[in-house]
Amino acid sequence: MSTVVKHVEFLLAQWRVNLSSAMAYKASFLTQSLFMILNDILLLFLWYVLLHNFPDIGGWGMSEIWLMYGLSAGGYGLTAMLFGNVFELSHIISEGQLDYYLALPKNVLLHALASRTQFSAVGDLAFGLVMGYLGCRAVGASFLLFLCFLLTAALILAAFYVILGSLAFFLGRSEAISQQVGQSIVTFGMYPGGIYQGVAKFIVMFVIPAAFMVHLPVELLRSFSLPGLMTVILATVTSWLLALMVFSSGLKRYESGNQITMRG
Amino acid sequence: MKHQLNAGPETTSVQAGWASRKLGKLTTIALVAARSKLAYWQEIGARAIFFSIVLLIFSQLWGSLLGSQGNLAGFDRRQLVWYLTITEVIALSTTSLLRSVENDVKSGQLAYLLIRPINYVAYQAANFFGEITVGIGMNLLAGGAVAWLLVGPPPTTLQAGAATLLLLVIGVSLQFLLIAMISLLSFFTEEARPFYWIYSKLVFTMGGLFVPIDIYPAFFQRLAKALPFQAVHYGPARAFIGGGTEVLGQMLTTALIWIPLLLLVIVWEFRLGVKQVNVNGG
Repeated sequence: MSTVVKHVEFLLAQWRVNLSSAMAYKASFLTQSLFMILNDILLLFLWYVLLHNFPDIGGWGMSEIWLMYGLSAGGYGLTAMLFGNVFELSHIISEGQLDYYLALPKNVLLHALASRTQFSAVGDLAFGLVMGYLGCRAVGASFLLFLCFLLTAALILAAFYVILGSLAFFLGRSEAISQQVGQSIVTFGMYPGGIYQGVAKFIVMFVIPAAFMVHLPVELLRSFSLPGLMTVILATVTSWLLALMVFSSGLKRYESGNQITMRG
Repeated sequence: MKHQLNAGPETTSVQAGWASRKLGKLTTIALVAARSKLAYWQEIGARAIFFSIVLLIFSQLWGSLLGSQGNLAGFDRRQLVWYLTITEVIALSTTSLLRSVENDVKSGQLAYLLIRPINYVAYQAANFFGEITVGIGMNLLAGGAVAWLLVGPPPTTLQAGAATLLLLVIGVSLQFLLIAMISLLSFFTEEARPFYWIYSKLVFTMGGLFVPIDIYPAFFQRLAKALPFQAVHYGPARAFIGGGTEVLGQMLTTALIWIPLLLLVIVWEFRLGVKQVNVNGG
């Protein structure tokens, strides 16, 4: 059996286990998901107020705002559902909890990331899909293309968090920096790309790549171009290559936490 | 009668001593919390980075919408960026009160805290005020510097600064009461976080976290002014950029109505919660 098939089978098994754990606390799972949807809906209020005062924001109207939220909230939801531990990677490394994954015959990073599912992320994903659907209808874009960009958004976000989490190999305890800088990609992605100028534009493209996660895909959904699609794919692949490079070079410096860990 | 006359000052003196000891304990807890907050320099630095990013985004947003000369409901770009600086200083300085109460319930630590000779809510309040004071100081330095770099000096006066300080104390007190009310739900549900998400979005929308309530459509302005969330962020920030006596009066009225009301709810919630909380561990 090829390595890719083995990895896919392993991931499916891991996600089944995560889903079973979530279902053990059905009420909590449902409450968190529903409240997260409500939480996300309230985020639209700012744009309602601004568009009440201005005809457009950086060239974007409400339809583009829907697409923007579809990709940022949906991308976050997808990452948190499938690779929920990516947001805890820094903590896992600095606490020496990587020992558990190192001792098993599976890919360390893949296993660590997929070992956790955030229950509330289902709400984010559901909200993102509804926003994406509404946005696609409003601008006449293909929903399938939106789903492709949802996947690239989730992958870019995960890669960015892997890079930040891996800083713990080099800096020790860096959870706070990892969390706050990580949050910034979602924050940058929740504002129209057209407003960024000068240094800010450079940051959202090359330092905190919200442009490739959200802004460029929204523009492509409005007006498709093949070079644009290739740019997004290239950015996704590059961010993962960088993430794997940082993680594997960090792993060589990893020091065990000498912890005895029980996992249920 | 004579006995009563003599007992009066003694009783007063005993009560004063008791109150002073209580206040001394709470001050000590607040100081420990403040010192411990200062020790987390990395967290403070990380928040400063995030704060800078938010200010940068909004400076760009207002620049894109207003240009260099335009204004929105009478506010120019400089005022709007400084408004956000003050609201974000408060928002980013908010402590982990909810997590602390949730952990106390889930870990069983609550059993030990409840038998201490100090009220649990007062203990959390002392921690909250100790931590938030340091947080506000540090964030104001970081955010103030970034805002100054982005749009120039603050558009404020000495009088407005004094009003801001007063409204900051009121806003932080209301914020504590609102978050405490939500945190105490942990006694009943163990998972109060979803309620906090909604609270944070109500503060964001009805509290004018990102933009002054003055630019909302009329219906939402009326709604926001009837709720307590405006006093947490909008009040101090609006006073800072020149709200005048009108904003001061409006916020004092809000505080007079909502602080006693929330206190009553918290006392009721705490009494009921302590009777039925299911403490784990030991």
